[in-house]
Amino acid sequence: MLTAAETERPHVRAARAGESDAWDALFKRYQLPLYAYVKELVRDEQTSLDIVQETFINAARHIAGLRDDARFGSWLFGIAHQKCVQFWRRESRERELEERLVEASELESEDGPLDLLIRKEREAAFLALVEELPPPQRSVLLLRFLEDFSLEEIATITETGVGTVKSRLHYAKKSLRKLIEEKEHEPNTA
Amino acid sequence: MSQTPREILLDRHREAESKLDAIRVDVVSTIARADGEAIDREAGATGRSIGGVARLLWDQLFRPCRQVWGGLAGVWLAILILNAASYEESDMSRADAEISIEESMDGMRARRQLLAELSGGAEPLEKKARPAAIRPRGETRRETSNV
Repeated sequence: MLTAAETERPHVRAARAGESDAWDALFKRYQLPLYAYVKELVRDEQTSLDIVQETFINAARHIAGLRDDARFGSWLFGIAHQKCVQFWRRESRERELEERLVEASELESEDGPLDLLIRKEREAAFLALVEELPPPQRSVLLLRFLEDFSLEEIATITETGVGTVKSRLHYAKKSLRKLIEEKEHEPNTA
Repeated sequence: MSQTPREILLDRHREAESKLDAIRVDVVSTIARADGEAIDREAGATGRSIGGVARLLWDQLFRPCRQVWGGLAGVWLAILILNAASYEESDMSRADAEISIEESMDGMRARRQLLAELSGGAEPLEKKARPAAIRPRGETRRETSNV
């Protein structure tokens, strides 16, 4: 069975040749996950739409810079991630973000299936919890959830080391678990 | 049935899909337009050099109907071959013609000489080749009977 990256290869090759139909197919495949990722990070609809549009335009402009056709997805998310960082910077949140980005130290990742954690929560509650996470952890978690990117791919997208990604994922899971426990122990006011 | 985190996230943002479609269409049409302009620019740039002109000719004139041009080339080749062959033949006939001209010239010279002798005017040009004087048949017979 062909993987997503393998099925995309012909489209990416055609897109490199300037075929607009291939671009259409690729953008259609990624538009919603990309928007979901951006929207969860910047939390503003119009800004998210603008970022998605800029990401598409930049992708078409710089497709020659893509080394491996199989990595189109992570490359596209990398562009979007950079746009989000630029947005944060514009919003004068740079310092806060930097502090958050530097936070993580090298820690052993805790390998437990995230799904076990997720299953305990209903959809809305899960999303509310994700929103409560600090941006770096949210970003890593979203990339994992949305496109199931590998640690290396997430590291490339977020321009950090694999160790940092591992620790962010670890902290994200830990934070989620903590939040779930808090919710479970909350007295039912309804 | 419980949804995966991916499905939950996508469902949450699905309402933006129509806007995303509009963005996609817009970007793709921009790409198509830009690509067309790039092709035009390339054609303009190549048009300036001789190689570019040749390539443009090849792309726009020859390549679309290669079979027709191939057929025409074949016909021209056949014509050239036939032409070369007939040229050789004409060489041979010209040589033949030259020989016959020489022969006729000789004949003409001999006839002129004969006429001159008959009229008793000019001296024969070649004594060796001078034919015996024409006399009445009776005299000739007498000479031979005397021998």
